[in-house]
Amino acid sequence: MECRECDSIIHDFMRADVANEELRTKAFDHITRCARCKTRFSNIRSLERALRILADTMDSEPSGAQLEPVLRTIFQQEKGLKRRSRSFAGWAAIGIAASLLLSIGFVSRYRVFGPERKSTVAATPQPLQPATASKAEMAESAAKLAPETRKRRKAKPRVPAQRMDGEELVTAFYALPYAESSEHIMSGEIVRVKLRGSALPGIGFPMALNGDRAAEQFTADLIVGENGLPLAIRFVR
Amino acid sequence: MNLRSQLSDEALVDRMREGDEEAFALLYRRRQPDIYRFVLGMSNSRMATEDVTQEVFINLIRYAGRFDPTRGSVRSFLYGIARNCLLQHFERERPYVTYDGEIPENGSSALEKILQPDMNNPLAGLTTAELLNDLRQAVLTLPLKYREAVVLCDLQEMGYVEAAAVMRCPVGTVRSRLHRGRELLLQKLKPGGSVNHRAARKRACC
Repeated sequence: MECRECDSIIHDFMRADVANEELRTKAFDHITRCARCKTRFSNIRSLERALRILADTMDSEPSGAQLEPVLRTIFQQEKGLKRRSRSFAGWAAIGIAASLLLSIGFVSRYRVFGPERKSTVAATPQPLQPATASKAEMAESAAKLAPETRKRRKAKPRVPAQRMDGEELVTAFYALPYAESSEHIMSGEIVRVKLRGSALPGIGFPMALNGDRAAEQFTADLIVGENGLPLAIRFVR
Repeated sequence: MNLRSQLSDEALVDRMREGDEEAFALLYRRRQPDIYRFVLGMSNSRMATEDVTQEVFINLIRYAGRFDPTRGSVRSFLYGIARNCLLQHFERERPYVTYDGEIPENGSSALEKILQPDMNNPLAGLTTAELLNDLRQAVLTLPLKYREAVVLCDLQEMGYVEAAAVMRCPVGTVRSRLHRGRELLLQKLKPGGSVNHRAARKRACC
């Protein structure tokens, strides 16, 4: 064993839990031969013994004032406090649970009945003006309605399309000539269809067709009556 | 014999959590001397030691729920609390440990004086006590990290593993800190070392 190796274990090799017998023998062999390590070992052993004497002296000293009565009082206070806080925590938990239940109830009621949500089918259908109305009459009624409509537009900008979900835009329903009344429209079923522009006049949707529009494909929701005739249409994008 | 006195520390902590005051009192009586001596070994004031010891057991009352038997013994848990309380205490007080001890010196080291008292000398006991006081002062002048290693391993005779749990560091670190602490003690106690040097200087002044 070299001095360097001996130095690294010189504090430990007497400890049963650190060094084994073989290492201890090697270290002793080196110490008996090396004067420097012998002195170092001797000093360390002296220090260890001195520290042990100091530890024994400290052991025999009184271990301070007996604080047991004080600590017992603190123990009782703390346990009492814990019991109180536990009962408070219990009441708080009940309160939180009750408010959670109430809020769940409100949310589910809101979802089921909703805030008087207007049905797009019921609210939007506007039967087309009868084709029999004269142009003069139409112009007169338009003139009457125009200022009112402008005011309404200023007050609340019209939303041309309604976003149904994250991606889909839909228009309002337009009544088709096959519809007899709004009640008739509401009795129908909504069917999603894809159709060419050229097919729109065929179902009664008034549309001026040029070449591009006729070939364009539209996605639309049709309200189909019991007899299979389309009653209203809205366009989907 | 009271049945509680046969219970392990861990069982006493369990009972304590359930509000058993006697279990706490028993644990206090069992562990208070160790904690007191550890704190006294680390600090230089009996008053501070009593304060810190009380703080340790108040913390035990409050945080007994945090004791996890898989991470160590109740003893280590208490030493860990004591160490934290001590660090907080040092932080609050920022103590400056000074040495004013006088060492009768005739060329030999203070250490040898401790170990080889002259039994024929009626003052030998007193001298030894003074020299032990010097050793204690030398321990107190060690930097904190070396001091706690020396106090735990040498004065409290704790194993490296347990000391590592208390100091929250690897076993190798405990070992190296202990070695460094002892080397510093040897330097302080040898003739011309800081402890002897100061004592000699004091004598020269008188």
